[in-house]
Amino acid sequence: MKKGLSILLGLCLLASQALFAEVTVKIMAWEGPEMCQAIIDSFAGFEAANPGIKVELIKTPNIGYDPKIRQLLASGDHSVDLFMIGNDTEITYGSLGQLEDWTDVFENDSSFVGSFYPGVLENWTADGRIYGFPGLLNTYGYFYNKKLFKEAGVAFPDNSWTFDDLIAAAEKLKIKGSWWSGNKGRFGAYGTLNAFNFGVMSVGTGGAPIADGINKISKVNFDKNFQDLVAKYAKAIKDGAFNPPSADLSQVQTLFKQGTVPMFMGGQWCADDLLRNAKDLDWGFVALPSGAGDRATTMYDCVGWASPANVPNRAEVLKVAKYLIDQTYNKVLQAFPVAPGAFTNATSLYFTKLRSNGHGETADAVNFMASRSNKQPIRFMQAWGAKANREIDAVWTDILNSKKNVSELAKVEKKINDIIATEN
Amino acid sequence: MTKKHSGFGSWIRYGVLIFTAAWMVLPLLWTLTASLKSTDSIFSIPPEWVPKEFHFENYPEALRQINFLRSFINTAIITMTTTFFQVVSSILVGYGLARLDFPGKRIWFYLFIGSMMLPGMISLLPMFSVYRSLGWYNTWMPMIFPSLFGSPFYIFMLRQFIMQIPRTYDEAGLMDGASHLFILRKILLPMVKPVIIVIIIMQVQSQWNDYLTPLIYIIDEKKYTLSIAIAQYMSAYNVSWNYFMASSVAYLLPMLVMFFAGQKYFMEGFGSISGSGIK
Repeated sequence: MKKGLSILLGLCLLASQALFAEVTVKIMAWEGPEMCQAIIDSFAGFEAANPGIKVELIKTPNIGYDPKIRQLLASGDHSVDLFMIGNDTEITYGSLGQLEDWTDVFENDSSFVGSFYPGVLENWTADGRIYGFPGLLNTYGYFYNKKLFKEAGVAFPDNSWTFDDLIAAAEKLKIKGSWWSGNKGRFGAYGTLNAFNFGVMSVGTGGAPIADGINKISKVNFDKNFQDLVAKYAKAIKDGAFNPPSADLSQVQTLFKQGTVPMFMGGQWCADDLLRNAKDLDWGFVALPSGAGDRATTMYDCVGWASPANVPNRAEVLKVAKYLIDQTYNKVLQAFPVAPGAFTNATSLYFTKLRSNGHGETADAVNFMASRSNKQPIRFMQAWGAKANREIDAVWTDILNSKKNVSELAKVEKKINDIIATEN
Repeated sequence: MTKKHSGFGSWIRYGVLIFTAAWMVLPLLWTLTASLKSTDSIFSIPPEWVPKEFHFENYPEALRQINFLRSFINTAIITMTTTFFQVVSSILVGYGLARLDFPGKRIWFYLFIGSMMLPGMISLLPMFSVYRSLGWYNTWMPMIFPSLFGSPFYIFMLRQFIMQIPRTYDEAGLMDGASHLFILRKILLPMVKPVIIVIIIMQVQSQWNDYLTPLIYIIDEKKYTLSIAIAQYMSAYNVSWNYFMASSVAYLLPMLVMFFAGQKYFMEGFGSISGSGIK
């Protein structure tokens, strides 16, 4: 009798341990120490609401992150349950079967799917499967100095501006220097536009997309509209409205903060630095000229979270992932307004932060770009991308310096299409 | 007879020396001054060499955020262990190649030399597979284990240096019944001390600064080395340059202290290598 009772007691103890065992979900982020701390702090409420789940954050440097992830996935190790990942690597490693397939989660939860910005999930898929959770979007535009715009008599741009408007503004803002007066002069706009920037602008002005997809490309196209825009840009560089491609731009943001640069091209994350370190500067942010109305388009640049294939404690990891891209980002992006969340629920406090600091136009520009359903690639994410980029790089600088004709792009287009045909 | 320098020649000599010394010291001074600035004044143009406001609080905050002490202890343990094993194993192999006769000695030597030509990245993937199958992923073993087999360059240095020492010393020892280990320990080691000091400096410095190996193999933050801990300040969106510089100064400090404390020996060591002329 006694023996039977003790066995029963033992079994009850084992069962209770199994029932109330705490699961630790380890997440790995490439953000800086302060932002990582904000991420982990945001989970206090989650842990209180989910007593069986503990969240641990592993901070890892951004430098060398990709080889680290490559080896982690190759090892089949499960020391990390969720880690940050770029769109391109998510597609690459997902296709190799090294990432957990979360497609079922998206298929069975329409309200979850509907809460992402348009075009985000479609471009996060690899062969129809979804291997992670989109977390943050990056958008690109021009930061401008309102005082210098007023002095030059240039109206503040809005998100419907065109590439011609950009060139006209840069022309008015430029100051020609002269060595005898000691005046160094300045360009009207800083930052070198690349082929993918023109891909967006070309579509916005009625041209064909640079590629017939983002996550799956079978053909690239540098059409007449694209070539005409590049030719205009090359002429504007020659006229001194834009910096030449060889210019050292490493200090542009600092010079902008000091009020000497009229406008520069950058990602929305520069706003965080300007809010912290240029409190007296009257600045604005506008989308890269990318058309208006239905034609308006934007570049697709997204980072998110993924898990190694066969991740243990899948249900708990899923809960953490959903909280991360929603509640966590909403809280963290208020303190560190670096990017909008890919999940629309996660952006409210980010936009509030920008607006409460007097930068409603920045919030509008970011939202304008993130909301476009027509998205274009920011780079070639496929394995053949490096070869294709080399073909573009071989002529791009010379074209911008007016040393080669834009018609050279037709040859590049053919070469890249040959690469795609061979590699696909 | 001492050679006299003309006044003009001295000016040129000192000018060149001051210029090159400044070239070396300026980055260090910039790191120091940036570590005491606020984030917004680091990139002010023209640059401020002396901060308008000194932010000494950058140091404790920068070190706290990355748990500097824990990473420092980790790095010190790994560096001391690998240096000890590296020196001992390189001496043994170097002695063997310089003094012992065995079949295939030349082939072994050329294999060692040949392996120096291979870029480290080539062996990264196969070594990763080996260490993973041994269960050493997320441990310090991939950093420590290779030091048990010596480094080709250190072995080469020691072999060449030992070959400069006349064999008569060994023969005298052998006649008195000394073993190879005794000859190495009591006769040759005191003579190769300068090379050993150089090897210690090089090994400590390379291990202290190793970034790729701990980055690839260590997942657990508690096992991070300093190079990884400090790099956390280089995030994708924003870099806290003042904290990065402050922790870099603290990171550099042990190396600087080691250099100044052992400067005499280091100079002797490097001098003796160049003086003896490795062949």
